[in-house]
Formats: sequence, structure tokens, C-alpha cells
Amino acid sequence: MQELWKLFWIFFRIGAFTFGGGYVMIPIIQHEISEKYKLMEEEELSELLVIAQSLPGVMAVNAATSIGFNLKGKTGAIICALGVALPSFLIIVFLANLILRYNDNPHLQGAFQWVRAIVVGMIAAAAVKLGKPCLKNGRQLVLIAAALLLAAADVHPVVLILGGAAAGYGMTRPEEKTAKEGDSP
Amino acid sequence: MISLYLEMFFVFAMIGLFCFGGGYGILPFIQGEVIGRGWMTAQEFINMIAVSESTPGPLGINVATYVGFRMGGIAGAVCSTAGLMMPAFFLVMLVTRLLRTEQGGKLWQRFTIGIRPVVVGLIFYAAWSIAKTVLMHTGTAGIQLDWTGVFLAAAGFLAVQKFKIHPVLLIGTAAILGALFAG
Repeated sequence: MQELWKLFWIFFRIGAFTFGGGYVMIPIIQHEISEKYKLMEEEELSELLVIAQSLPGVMAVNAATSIGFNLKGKTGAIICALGVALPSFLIIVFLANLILRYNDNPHLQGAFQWVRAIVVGMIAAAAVKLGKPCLKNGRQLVLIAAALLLAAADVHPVVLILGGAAAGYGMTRPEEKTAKEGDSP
Repeated sequence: MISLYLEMFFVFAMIGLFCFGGGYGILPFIQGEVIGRGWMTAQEFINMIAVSESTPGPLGINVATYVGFRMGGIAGAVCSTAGLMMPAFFLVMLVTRLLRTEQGGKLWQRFTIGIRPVVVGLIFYAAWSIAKTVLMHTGTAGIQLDWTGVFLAAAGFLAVQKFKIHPVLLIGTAAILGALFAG
């Protein structure tokens, strides 16, 4: 019980004080869990975190769930996930209340009008950063272009993501085969 | 009302199961699944990105909580946020063990090699749609560009890309100046 409470508190603090989502949170989780509280070997923890980052969904929740499950089973998974999500939940409920109440205030509207334009620039910067690692690979470039065009033609993102998974599977097949042939006795 | 709660739970569960790429990975789903259902306007969503960047916590949780709260109060916020988080439990309990085996890990890597560029394309498209919503207005004289907006967006891009200015500082400054001078 005490240990569950400790885990909850660790993740609650990470959720409450980390700006910038998953990529910023992962190193902090690493520091807290393996260095500060020594709850898990560093090697095992990084293996879990790599998988948590590659799974779909909210990265911080995946990481918390995975660590909680490994340390304390299903209860641990739920406790850690709740811990990491609760601070943003509470903050947003509080802010949503204010925003929805003062929606008509001209100063608030003005603030959001300028902020929205800034956000456009920030998203563009994030998109460029995200796309950079894919630019060197011809086949990945084709997939980027195809996804863009099909998204513009209103194809559902789930369909495109499943298509991407299938394409990835097809694309990598030859290398797999040669590797296997080399391995066989 | 109950059906709205269920709908929010399952829509966000689907997003939780299929959004890849961290924070902005949720962008491609918003237009069709959230704005298209009338749960939030495009402008509110972009406001939410700003709020999310300047408060702690992941964007996905913030969007789910905001939408749920707006549509159904605290109970709604619980439904949509729980929906978004639910797939993580199944993935962690069922899939993580598989992915830790050598074969499973390799197979997953083959899938993600194709998923990553698709997500990049989807986010590019979502970014373009957002830029259009914010920077273009359809008035009586046809489509007009909002030049103040274009200038601010360019400043935002450079501030992040070139000068690595912290998002909280950037958004805070824009909010204060906007409250004083916009409109």
C-alpha cells in the first residue's frame, strides 16, 4: 500500500511539473524511477520506455502504465497512469471552466487570437522536425506524400495508419529474408 | 446523454489506440472525430494547443479533458479521458511482453517503419488545415489573408526553430500583447 502511494506520488509530481509532454517526460521518469528511488534496473527501465514510446497513445501514460504494471501488476498500472494524468486533468477542468465562462471577454479573445497565430508557427516547426529523419529515405518520402494526398481526400487516419503498417511490413521483407537465410545452418 | 458519454469514451479510445508520434500525433484525428462531431470548434482546438503548451501535462489528456468537460461536465471529462487512456492498459499488459521477445520486436519495427512516415504526412496535412483556419478568412471579398496572423506565425516558427525560445515564454508574451492590442 505504502509503495503504491509512493508510485502515485512520483508520477503525480512528474505530471504536475513537466511542460512539453512525452519527449520531455521520459528522461525525468528515467531519473526518478531508476536513479533517485532505485525501483528498477536502468537497463530494464530503458527497454520498457523504448517500447512505451513506440506504442500508440499518450506517451507519458504508456510509460507510467508500463512501469506500474511491471512493479505492482494491474493495480500498479492503474495507480501510475492515474498519477501522471490527474494533474493535467485537474488543471484543464479548472481552466476550461474559466475559458468557457469568460469566452466573450474581448481581452481574452484578443489574447487567443494572437496566440493561435503563434501556435501555427510552432506546429509548422514541430512538423519540420518530425519529418526530417524521413527525408533521406525515398520510400518513406513516397509514404509521406501518399498519406498527405489521401488525408486531403478525406481517407480516415486509422485506414492510413494501418496501410502504413502494411507498407512497412512489405517494404522490409527482403532484408528479413536474407538475414534469415544467413542465420540458418 | 448517456449515449454521448459512451460515444466520447469510444471515440477517444479509438484515438488512444491509433495515434502515433506523441503530442501532435493527435492532430490528424481532431478534424474528423472531434470538430466534425461538433464537440469543439477549430478555433477552440487551437486555443487548447496553446493552453496545453503552457500548462504541464500531455496534449492528448488536455484535449480529451477539455472536450469531455465542455460537452458533459466532470462526468464527461472522466469518460473521454478514461477512453483515451484505456488502450494503454491493454497494450502494456498484452503487447509489451510480445515486443520484448526478439521476433516480436523485429516484427513491430517493420510495422513502425511504415507507420512513421504516414504519421508525418498526416501531421503535415493537419498543420496545413490549421494554418488555413487561422490565417485565412472568407469574407465578402473572397478569401483574405490575415497579415498580422501570418507575421505572428512566421515569428513563432523562427522563435522555435532558430532561436529555441521556450513555448511557455512565447505563448505568454503573445497572450499579453494580444490582450492589449488585438481586435
